[in-house]
Amino acid sequence: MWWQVTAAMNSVIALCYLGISTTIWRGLRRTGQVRTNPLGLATAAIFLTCAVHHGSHSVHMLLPYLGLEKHEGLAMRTAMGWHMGLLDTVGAVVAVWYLSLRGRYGALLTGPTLFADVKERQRQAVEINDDIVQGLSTALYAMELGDVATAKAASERALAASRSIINDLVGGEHSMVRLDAGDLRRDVAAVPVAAVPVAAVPVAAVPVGAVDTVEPVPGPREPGT
Amino acid sequence: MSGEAALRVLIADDNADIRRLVRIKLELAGGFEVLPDAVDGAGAVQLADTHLPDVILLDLSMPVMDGLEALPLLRQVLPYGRIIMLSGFDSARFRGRALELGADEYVEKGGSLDALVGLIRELGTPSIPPRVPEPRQEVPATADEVEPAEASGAA
Repeated sequence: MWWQVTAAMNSVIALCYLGISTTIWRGLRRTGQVRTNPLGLATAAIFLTCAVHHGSHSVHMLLPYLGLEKHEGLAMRTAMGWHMGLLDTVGAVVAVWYLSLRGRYGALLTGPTLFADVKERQRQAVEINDDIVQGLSTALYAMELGDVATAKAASERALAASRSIINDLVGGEHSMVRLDAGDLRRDVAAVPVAAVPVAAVPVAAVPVGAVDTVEPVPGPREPGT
Repeated sequence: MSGEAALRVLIADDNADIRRLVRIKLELAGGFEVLPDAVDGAGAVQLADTHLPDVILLDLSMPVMDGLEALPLLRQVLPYGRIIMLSGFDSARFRGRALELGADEYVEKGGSLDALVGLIRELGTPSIPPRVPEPRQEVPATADEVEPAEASGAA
């Protein structure tokens, strides 16, 4: 009796795994991630091979009905005791449960994308730090030292970098992302600089022109030198 | 500062303008000897090993080796030196990690240079008496090559 149970349960498991594998595969194809998402592809592949494995057990036990592989098939039926029947039943329940969760398989597809997004955000953060924060810091330091020329140059460079980064974020001239009327509407009007309380206003401790009296500084070594 | 030895400061930052302006501020303030500066973390470790500065101003984001990678190596070559992270990144995000890796203080760039000078003076004049660098091993080129601390005592 137990071999019929294990044959039935293995069939259930095989069909569920086949459904899971197919669902993941379709998701990968639909989102164009067949080549770029190895984790998703491997998950689909492992479910497919398991489906074949469990399906072959059932087929093997049924083949003697067709007069094929009688010896091997009957031996397998004999080997399937109650313990195998119980294990395969548990396996079938889990397989059905996993298949019922197919609406959430998106995590397999979006997981790697989310990871890529995090890496992209980190890259943008470093870019903003290097091009904007450093530039504005330079401008503030230069103003504190009365070095107007450096302050102005650093501000202009930070402004240009800001525009470039914003352009990247909203989509540049040839971007597929189209900006329509109203997309740039702000929630509130821009606050004038004078209205913003400043926590620590840099104090011009050094009179303008004092920088000129400083001894020449040894030439800095540039990165890569 | 008369009668006191000048505090020896090493600036490690890949931004040439920041290096130049901080150097000028320190020289104007007086009481500091600004050492040749470094443009990355590896250079900072090398220069710290050579010059044994009292205070290091260390940037966070740099090429070759960033500030967080350099910190443990700097602590090896300069156990008693003071290290101030001077970074454009928010202190709320990186201060804890920097202090954990051996920094003495974390300062966001763009604040008052006067305050920075005050902090350098405060940290650079420690209650720890004479700074006697301990015998040390060769400084590895990168953080990856640092042997685990317990490895040296294992044999």
